[in-house]
Amino acid sequence: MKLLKNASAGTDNREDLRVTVSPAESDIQITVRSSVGALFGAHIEAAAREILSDYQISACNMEIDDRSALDYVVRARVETAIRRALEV
Amino acid sequence: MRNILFVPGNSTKMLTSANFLGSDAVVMDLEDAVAPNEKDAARLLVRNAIRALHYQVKLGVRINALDTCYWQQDLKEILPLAPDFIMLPKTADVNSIHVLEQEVAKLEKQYGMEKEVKFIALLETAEGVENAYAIARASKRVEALFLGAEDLTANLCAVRTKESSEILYSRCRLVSAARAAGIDVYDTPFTDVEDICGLEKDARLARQLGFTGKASINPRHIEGINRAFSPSEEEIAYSREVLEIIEKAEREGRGAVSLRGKMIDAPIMARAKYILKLAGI
Amino acid sequence: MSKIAINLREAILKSGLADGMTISFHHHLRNGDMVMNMVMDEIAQMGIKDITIHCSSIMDVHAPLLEHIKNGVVTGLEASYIGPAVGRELSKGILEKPVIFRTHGGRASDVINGKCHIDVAFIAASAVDREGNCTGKIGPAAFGGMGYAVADAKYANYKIAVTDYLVEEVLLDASIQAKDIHKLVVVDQIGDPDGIVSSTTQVTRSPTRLKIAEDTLKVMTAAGYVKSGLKFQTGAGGVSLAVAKYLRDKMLKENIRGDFCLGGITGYMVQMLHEGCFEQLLDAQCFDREAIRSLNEDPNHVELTSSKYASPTDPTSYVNELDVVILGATEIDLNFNVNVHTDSYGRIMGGSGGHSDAAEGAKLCIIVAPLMRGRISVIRDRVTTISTPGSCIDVLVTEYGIAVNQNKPELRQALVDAGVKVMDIEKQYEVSLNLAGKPAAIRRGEKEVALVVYRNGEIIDRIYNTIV
Repeated sequence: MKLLKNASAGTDNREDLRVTVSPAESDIQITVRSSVGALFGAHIEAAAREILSDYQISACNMEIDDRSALDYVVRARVETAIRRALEV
Repeated sequence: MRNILFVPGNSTKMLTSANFLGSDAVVMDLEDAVAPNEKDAARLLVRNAIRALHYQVKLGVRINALDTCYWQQDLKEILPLAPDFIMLPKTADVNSIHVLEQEVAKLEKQYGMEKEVKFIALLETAEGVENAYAIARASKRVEALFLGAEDLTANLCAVRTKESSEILYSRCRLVSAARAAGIDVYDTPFTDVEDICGLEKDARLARQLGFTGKASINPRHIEGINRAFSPSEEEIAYSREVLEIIEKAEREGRGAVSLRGKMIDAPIMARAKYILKLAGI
Repeated sequence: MSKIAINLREAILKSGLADGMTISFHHHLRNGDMVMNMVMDEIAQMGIKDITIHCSSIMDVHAPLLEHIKNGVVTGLEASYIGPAVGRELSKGILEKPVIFRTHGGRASDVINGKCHIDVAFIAASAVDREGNCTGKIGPAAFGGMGYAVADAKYANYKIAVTDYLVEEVLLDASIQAKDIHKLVVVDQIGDPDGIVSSTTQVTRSPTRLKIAEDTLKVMTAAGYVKSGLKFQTGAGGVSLAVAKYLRDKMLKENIRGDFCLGGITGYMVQMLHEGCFEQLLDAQCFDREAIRSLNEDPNHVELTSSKYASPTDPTSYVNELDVVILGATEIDLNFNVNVHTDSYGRIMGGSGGHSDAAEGAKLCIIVAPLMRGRISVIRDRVTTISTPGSCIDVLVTEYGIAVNQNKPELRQALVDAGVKVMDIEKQYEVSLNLAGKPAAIRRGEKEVALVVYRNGEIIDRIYNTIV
């Protein structure tokens, strides 16, 4: 599937994150900025990649600004941003 | 349930801590607490929260009203998680329940779900209040009626006060309808977060009128609601005495029983059993 | 000859302070302290170098120390607690010698038995008379008792009292006697009253933390300690104070009178004393104005030296009499070892204070902490730093449940018998892994930046520099 537009989801609140996605040419670029990046940065990126894979998206630019959100929140926000970017 | 706590469906902190707020039940709100452009986000957050958090409390979800474009998607996302109940806002008549039930039944079949999800009908219009008894009997899935006083008073063109006589009729009507139909009934939340005294007074009134419990929009109200709806130690002690004396009479083959000069008849016995059940004994 | 020095410089000159010596301070002025910074500035200006500071606690207000460390004025630190402002920098390895962490009781013991030699003790006092009798109970910068300074006053080589309030009449109720003071210096201000008073003396309103406090009381009750004669200690922070509230409510309802409340004292405990919940308050330090006032006025509110409070070498020290202590943790592992020295990144942000002292002494030690602080779990498979060993820790209470150390099977059974639900620490750890995943291991450096010296004098753990 191809992303049709830029989209974002989430908030700047503590224990939440903001995700922004935009269409890209050929591959997946994920940038994670997190208050707990040294401990969980890799997990956050892995969760995002999983969801992109679930939606069969092979190209996008994603930026994540995380404030120590739990895994289920990361996944919910990433999925919301992706769905929004797939809408016409 | 003595109390039902509303938790905004878009608040990560509240969803994460919903288990520990001391309420018997939690309603994750996809309706009034969520802005229209965040309905999609809230749905996924609630879905993921229920999956990840293994809630110990009874769990409900307030979907959006039937006159919106959101409610079907709400159900589609949330139903597979098997919440204990779906709360339908602005339930006006029997038809609302039928429409909801049709959609829910279709999805339950589609997902191969064994257990039928229950409904709590939120009555917050004059029409809903008038149709309370019919709504209560509209489906065996309807397990409770719930009064929403804020929207109701607007609909009634009344003035909402703490003293609350403007909703007295509606409260009593719902209690009467629910009890006649053999289901539970929950009172409207108290909206002044800081006024704990006022909250307790309101909760005691709700108990007096016959409500099963009361909803709240803030965890700080839960203790006060519990106090109003939990039997007191005197009530528990008395109920125990009643049941003991009945048991004793049965063993001795006696029919009529009295305790401290008062005849113990069927209603008193039923109430004693109810009190002990509430107390978890 | 008058004991009153013309100024700080004169007192320091008279003390014979030279390069390489050890000086000490107490931390009763907490984050309002101005004395250490003032003294260190003077010492630096005098060209003295290579000083070791031995302070009961180093607070964030002492951040100017970092400049003195950079310039070689300070080359050694010994303390029972170091706040994050200084601690995080120390974790980068700015000191050559590792910091020595002790407990409050351990510090007192080592000063008394000579393991710690102090050349010059700078003793801040909110009021001093002309003879040199010192108190912290009166004066514009009043802070309460002076328990952390008494050992220094008796055993340091040279003792300088620093005050901003010289009184004419002889101080009868002095915490430190004139005979123990060599010189006294009067300065403009020893401390900022708003910083002296702790900011954490409010009962929490967070429902999660209240639940933890409520469950903690259930544990205390089921374990059989909530009865007449209770000897109790709790912290000043949110959850700890909420435990005091629930305890108070129960004690008043059931007419229970405890023996004493020990440790850092807050206005809430003063209220409990007035309401008859306890016979006495045994005060190691005052956290707020109500506590200071009560110490001044109430004979049942008693000042303790840190030795009498918590010394590991004095069997009559009060921690040994404790029934129950409520403590916090930044981390706890599956063996119940507790970390209060470093954060999840390995950076120094605290220290034992009286943690290990009370944990080891008390019959029942309960750690209260939220399981999750954002994405970070309090439970690790192994703590970053061992502050207090698991053998002293009996129970962990989080919002998810109550975990009992497996070395206390009778306690676990007592809880189960009383209908209190137990959730083992392994299960709680699993919950945190499901919610957050296992945090990546933080790479640490090779340089020892601190040694954690336990109550028995042994090094229980080492803290290394961080590479973040």
